[in-house]
Amino acid sequence: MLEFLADHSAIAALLKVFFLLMAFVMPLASLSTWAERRQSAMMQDRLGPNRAEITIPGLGWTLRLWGITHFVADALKMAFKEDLVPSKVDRVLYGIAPIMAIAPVLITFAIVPFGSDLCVGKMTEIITSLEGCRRTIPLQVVRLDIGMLFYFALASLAVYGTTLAGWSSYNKWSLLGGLRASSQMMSYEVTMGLSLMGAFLYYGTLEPNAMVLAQGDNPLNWGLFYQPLGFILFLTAAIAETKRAPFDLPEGEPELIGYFVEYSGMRFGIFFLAEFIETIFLAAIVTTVFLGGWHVPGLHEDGFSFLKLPHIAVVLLRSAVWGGKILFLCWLQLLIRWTLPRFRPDQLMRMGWKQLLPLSLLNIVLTAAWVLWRSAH
Amino acid sequence: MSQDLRNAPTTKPAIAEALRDIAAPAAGATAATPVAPAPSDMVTIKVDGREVQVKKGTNVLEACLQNGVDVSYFCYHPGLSSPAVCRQCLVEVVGQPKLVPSCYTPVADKMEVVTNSARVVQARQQMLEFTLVNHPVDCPICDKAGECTLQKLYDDWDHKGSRTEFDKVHKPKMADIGPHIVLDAERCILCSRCIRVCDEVAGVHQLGMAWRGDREQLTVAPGQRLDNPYSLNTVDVCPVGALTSKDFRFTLRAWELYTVPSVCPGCATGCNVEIHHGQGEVWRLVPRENLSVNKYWMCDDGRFTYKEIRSRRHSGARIGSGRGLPAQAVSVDKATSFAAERLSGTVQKGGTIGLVFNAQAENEALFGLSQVAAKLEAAGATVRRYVVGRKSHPERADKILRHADMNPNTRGAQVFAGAGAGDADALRSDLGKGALKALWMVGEDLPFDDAVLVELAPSLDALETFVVQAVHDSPLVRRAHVQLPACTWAEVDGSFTNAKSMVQRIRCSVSPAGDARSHMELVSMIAKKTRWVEGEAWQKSPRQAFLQLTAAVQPQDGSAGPFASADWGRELPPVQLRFANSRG
Amino acid sequence: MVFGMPTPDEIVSGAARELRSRPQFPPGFGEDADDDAPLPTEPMTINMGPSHPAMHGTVRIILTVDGETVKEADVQVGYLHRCFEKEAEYATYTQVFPYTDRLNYVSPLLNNVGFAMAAEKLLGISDKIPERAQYIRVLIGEISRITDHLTCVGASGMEVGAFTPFLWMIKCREWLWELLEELTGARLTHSYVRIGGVAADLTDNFAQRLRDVLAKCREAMVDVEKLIVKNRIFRDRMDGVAVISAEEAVAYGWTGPCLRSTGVPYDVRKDHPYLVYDRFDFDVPVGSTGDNYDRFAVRMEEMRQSMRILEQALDQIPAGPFKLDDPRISLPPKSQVYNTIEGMIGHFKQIVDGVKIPPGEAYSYTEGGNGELGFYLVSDGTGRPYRCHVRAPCFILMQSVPKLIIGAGVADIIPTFGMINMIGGECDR
Repeated sequence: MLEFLADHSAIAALLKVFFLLMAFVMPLASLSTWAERRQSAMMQDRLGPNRAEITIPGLGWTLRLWGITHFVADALKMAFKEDLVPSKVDRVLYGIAPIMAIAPVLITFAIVPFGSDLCVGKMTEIITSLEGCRRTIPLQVVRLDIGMLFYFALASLAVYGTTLAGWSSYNKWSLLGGLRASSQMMSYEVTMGLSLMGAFLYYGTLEPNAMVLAQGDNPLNWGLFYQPLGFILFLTAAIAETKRAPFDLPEGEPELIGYFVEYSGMRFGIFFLAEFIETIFLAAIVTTVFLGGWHVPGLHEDGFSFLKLPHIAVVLLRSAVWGGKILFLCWLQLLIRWTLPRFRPDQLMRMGWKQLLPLSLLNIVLTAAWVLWRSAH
Repeated sequence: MSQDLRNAPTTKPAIAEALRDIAAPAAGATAATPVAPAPSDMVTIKVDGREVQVKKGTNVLEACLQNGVDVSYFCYHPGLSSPAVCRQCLVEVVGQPKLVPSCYTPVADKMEVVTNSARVVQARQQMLEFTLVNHPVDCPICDKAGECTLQKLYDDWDHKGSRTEFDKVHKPKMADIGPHIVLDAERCILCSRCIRVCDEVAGVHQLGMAWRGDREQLTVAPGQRLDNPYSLNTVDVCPVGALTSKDFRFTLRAWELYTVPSVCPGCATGCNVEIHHGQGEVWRLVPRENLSVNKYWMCDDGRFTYKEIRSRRHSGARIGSGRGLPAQAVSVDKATSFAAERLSGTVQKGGTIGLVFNAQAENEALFGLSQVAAKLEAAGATVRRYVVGRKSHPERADKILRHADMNPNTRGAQVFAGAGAGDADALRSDLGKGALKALWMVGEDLPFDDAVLVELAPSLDALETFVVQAVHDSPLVRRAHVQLPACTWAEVDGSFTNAKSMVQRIRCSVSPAGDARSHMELVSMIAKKTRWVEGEAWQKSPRQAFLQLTAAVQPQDGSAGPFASADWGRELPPVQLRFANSRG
Repeated sequence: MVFGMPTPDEIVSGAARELRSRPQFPPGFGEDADDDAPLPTEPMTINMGPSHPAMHGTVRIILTVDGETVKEADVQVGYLHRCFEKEAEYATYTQVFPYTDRLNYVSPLLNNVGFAMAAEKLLGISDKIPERAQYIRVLIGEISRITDHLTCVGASGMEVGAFTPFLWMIKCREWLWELLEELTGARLTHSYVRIGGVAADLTDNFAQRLRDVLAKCREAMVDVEKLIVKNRIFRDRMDGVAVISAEEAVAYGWTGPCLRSTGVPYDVRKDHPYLVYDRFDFDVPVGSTGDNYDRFAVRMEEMRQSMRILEQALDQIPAGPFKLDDPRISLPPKSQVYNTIEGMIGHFKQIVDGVKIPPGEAYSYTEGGNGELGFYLVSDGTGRPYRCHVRAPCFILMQSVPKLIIGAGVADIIPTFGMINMIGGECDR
C-alpha cells in the first residue's frame, strides 16, 4: 500500500490533500465558528451556543457535546438560505468573489508540512534517522523550493476576493469595505513578507519542511527564540491579513457592515469560512516557522530518550502535536479578537507603514548581521 | 388645592364651544329674533361677591349657571319645572337663615348669593352622602357610567369615603316598565325629572313616586306602561342609570362613543340630535338643545332612524337591463359612465327626461340636480321635475314635535325643484302615460304602497333609461338600469331644510357602507360624464355646494330668503363622548 | 440642516470654524497623491440609516464623503416619531406614564419621575409628596441613570469593536433591571411612578439586594476600565475625537453628561435640587477637553456618584406612606372600590376622566440620563394635558452632530454618535 503510494506521488498528493483539507482544515474551520462563539461567551459571562444536539434515530440517544454540533446547524442554515442576488450587481464578479476569497488559502496549504516523512517499509521499526530509508513519503502536499514565496504569491490573490466582492455588490458601503480591505491587505503584506525575511536568513531556506527540520526537537532552537521580533511582527501582520479584530475594518460591523454586506446564504458562508481557514493557515505558518512545525520537544526519530517508539508512532505523535499547536494558535487568535477594539483606517495605515515596516526592516538588518557574525565565527 | 379643583371647569372649553356652535339655531324665516330686554327687566344680584345682571324672573341657579358659577343640581332641568326635590343646589342667600334651593328661588334685586362658602359646600357633600347611602355599587355594569351626573358631582364636590355601616335598601331591578325602557329602582335618586318629562313634554302622566322615606321609588301604576311617544327622553334626563334604553343598553360604554352634531331625518321637524357612534357604527341618537326647533327633546321614532343606516343597504353599484333582471356589479365609476351614456343618449334623441327630487336627500344634491335641470332646459331638452318622498303619516302628527311629513328635506326639495315641479302623483300619471323616456331618481323613496308599485312596474320597464341613486335596496331599485349606491344622512356632510324652512347642518359620522357615495357626488359624477355640467363650484365639495346654493336661492329683491342666515359652521374633529362632557 | 435651525456655521465661533475646516483626520490621510497630475476624484454621497446597525433608534445621516473623510453631513431625525405629545393630549395624566417609559427607553423611570413632577407642579402639591415617595423616586431614578450610562458606555465600547465590555455592562444592567422588575413588575416599561407618589412600596429586602448589586456593578466597572480605559486602541479611537468647546456646547443648548464633558459643571440635581437631592453628598464630574473620551469618562464617574447617592438614600429613607393620601389624586384602596359606591365612583372617575388638574401651565425639569429632561404641561382643567411638550435632551444634542462629524472619518461617526447617546424614543418622541 505505502509502497504503491511512494511510487505514485500524484495519488499520494491527492490523498494528502484530502486528509489535510477534508479531515483537518475544513472541520477545524467549521469548529472554529462554534469555538469562537463559545470562547466569546465564556469571556463575556454568558452561555453561548450550547443547545444543538443530535438524536440518533432508533436508539433514542441524544448527543449534545456542549453544543459542538452547532456548526452543523450553522452550515445547514447557510446552505438552505435563499441565495439572494441583488438586482444590480455584476453577476460574474459577484459570483466569483467568494471563490477568489477561499481558493488561495486552500491552495497555500499545499506547502504546509503536517508531519515528518514516512519511511516506507520500516513503519513498525525503531529507526534513528531517515537516511537509511529507500523510499519516503513526505507529509506535505508539495515540497517546493520557493516554499514561502509561493505562499506570499497566493496570499496576494486573496485580496481580489474581498475587493471584487465589495466592488461588484453595487453598494457604497461594501465598496468602502472592499477599498479598506485592499489597502489594508496590500499594506500588511509588505510587513508580513519582510518580517519573515529574518527567519529565511536564519534558516537559510524558503522551504517550510526544511525550516522545521532546521529548528529540531529542542524548543530552545525554535524560531520563536531566534526571531522574537519577527514572530510578533508576523503575527500582527498576518492577523491583519485575516481581517479579524482588531483589524476587521473591512467588515467594521457598526459602521460599514462589510464588503460582503450584499451576500447571503452559502455565498456569505464561504467568506465566513475563508476567514476561519485563514486563521488556521496563519496558525500553520506560525507553527512551521516559529514553533518548530511538527516537532515535539524531546522527540527524536527513534522516540524519546527515555522511551523508544516505532517509526509510525513517532510520525503520528508529531502530526498530533502539530495539530495541537495549531489549535493553540487559533485559540490565541480568538482571545485577541474578543479582547481588543478595532483600529481606525488611518491608525491602521500609520501602524502598518510607520511602525511595523521599519521594525521589520530593522529585524532583517539585525538578523543579517547576526547571521554574518555567526558564519564568520 | 382642593379649592382649585372645585372651581375648575370640567369641560374642555374648545369642545363645549364646538358643540355650542351647532347648537345655536340656524335661524330661518320663523326663528324668533331675540329682543334685548329692557333695562327695567334686569335685576342686579351678587354671586360670590361678583355683581351680575340677570333677567327678572330667572331663578338663582340659572343666574349662577349663566355667569359661569358652578352649582351642583340633580332635579333641575332647563326644559322642566323646578320642584326642588333633590336639595343638591342649596346656596346661601345673605340675610336668610337657612340655605335655599337655588333652582326654586327667583332672583330679587340686590340679592347676595354665596355658592362656595364652607357651609354650602358642606351641605352639598352631605346631600351627596345621603344620595349615595342607598346607591348600589353598579358603575361597572351600569349603562350610565361615564356620563352619570351622580358620578360627576361626587367627583367634583365630595370625595369622602363611605360611613354607612348598614345594608343598602333593595328595590326592584330590571323592571320592564315600557316598550323601550327598563327601570332599575335602586339606582334612582328620586329627582322626578322623568315624571316631569312625561307630564310636561309628552303631556301624559305615566310615572309617579310610590312609598315613603328610604323606600320611596319610581314606578308606573299597576297595569300601566311607559309607552308615550316621547318616553326615551326620560332616559336622557335621568341623572343616573335608573332608566335605561332597551335599545342601547349593554352595547357600548359611554366613553367609547364619539359624538357628532346632526339633525334627525325622521320627519320634517328636523330635531337637532347628536349622533353617537363608535367602532364605525352609529349606536344611538340623542336630542341636542335647540330652542327654536326641539328644545331638549325628540320622539322615540326619531331615535330609531339610525337603524336604517345599517339595514338593507344598497352598497354596490349595479348596471343591467332593468325589469328586475339580475344586474351586474360594477364600480361606481363604471356605473356612472354607463348612466351618463344612457341619459345623454336619450336626451340627444329628444326624449323627455324626468328628474326626481327626493325629500330624503340633502340640499346639496338636490341643488346639483336643479343645476343639471337648468342646463338641460337651456339646451332645449324636455325636462320634468318631481318632488317625492316617503309617505306621510298624518295620524302621528302632534303639536309637540312629531310631524306628518316623514321626510327631513321636503322644503329643500320643493325649493330646488322649482315652482313647476310635479308631485308623486304627477310622476305616477306621467309614467302611466309613457310621457317619460328617461328617469333619474336621486333617492329611491316613493310614497306609494306596494300595489301601486306593482301597477307602475310595466311603465318603469318601458323607460329607455332608468337611473336610481339608492340608499336601500328594494324591488324598485332592481328595476333600474343603473343602480347607484348612495349614502345615508349619517354618512355625508350637508344640510336639510325643515318644515319651518330652517336650514340645518347634517354631519358625516361614520364611513359609507360599501361603495356608497353621497347623492351629491353621484349627481356631480353623472353631470360631469354627460358633460352637462362641468367645473362648477358645487361639484367640488359639499361646502362649496352649500355656499353656492345659499347664494343661488337668494331672492333678487334683496329680502331675506329661505336660506338667508344659513351657515355651514366649522369643521368638527370627532369628539369622544368621554371628553365632551358628562351628560345628564 | 433639517431642523430649520441655524446651521452650525452660523453658530460656531471663529476658532471652532478653523477647527472644523482643518480635518480632524491626520493631515495627509486620503488626499495625498504622489503623481503630479492628481487623479480625478469626486465626493460620494452615502446614506447612513435609517436602517443601519449603528443608528440606534432610527436616524438617518446623509454623508458626503471624500474617501473616508466626511465632507458634509445631513442628520435627519424623526423616523421614530410616535406622536408622544399628541397622544398625551388624548390620555389622562396617569395614562401618559406608559408613554413616558418609551421616551428614553434605557432610563424609563427618570422620565416617569420627570413627568410626575411636572403634573405635581401644576397641581401645586410638589411640597406635599411624602418623603418616602421622594426617596423612592431618587432611588429608582439613580438606578435608571446607572442603567442609562451602562448602556451608553458599554455600547461605545462595542461600537469601536470591543464587544466584551459591552456585555459585561449589559450584565450589570440586567442585575439592576431584575431589581426594578421585582419592584415595578416590568423589566423596561415600568410605569411605576404616579402623580403624588409611586405605585407601590419598596419590596422587602430591597436595600440589601441593591447594595449587593451595586457591589457587583463596581467590580464589573473596574473590569471594564482595566480592559478598555488603558487600551491604546480604544484611547486612540476616543481621545481628541469630536471635540467641542464649552462655549459652543452651551450655545448649542447641550446639557447633561455631554455638557459636563466640556467642563461646565451644570447638573440639575446640584444647581436646582429637586426631590431630596439636596440631602446627598455627591460630586458632579466634569471633563476637560469635550472629546469622546471625556464624555465616556464623565459617564463612568457619574455612575459611581449615582451609586454614592443610592447608598446614602438607602441609609436615609424614612418609613411612611409612599403616595399622597388624597382621594382626588391617588386611587382608593381596592376594598373600598369593590364595596362602597363612593370608592367605586372615585376609582371610576380617576380611571375614566383622570386626575383633574387646575388650568395653568408648568415647566418642570429634571436631570435625565442625557441631560435636562423637561416636561412642559398646559392644563385646561380636565384630566388630560391640553398640551404636553418634552424637552428631550438628546434632540438638542443631535443638532450639533454635523458639527462634530464633519471632517472626521466614517469610522469616527460611530463612537461620536454613540457618546452623544441619541435615544430614538426620546429624540423623535
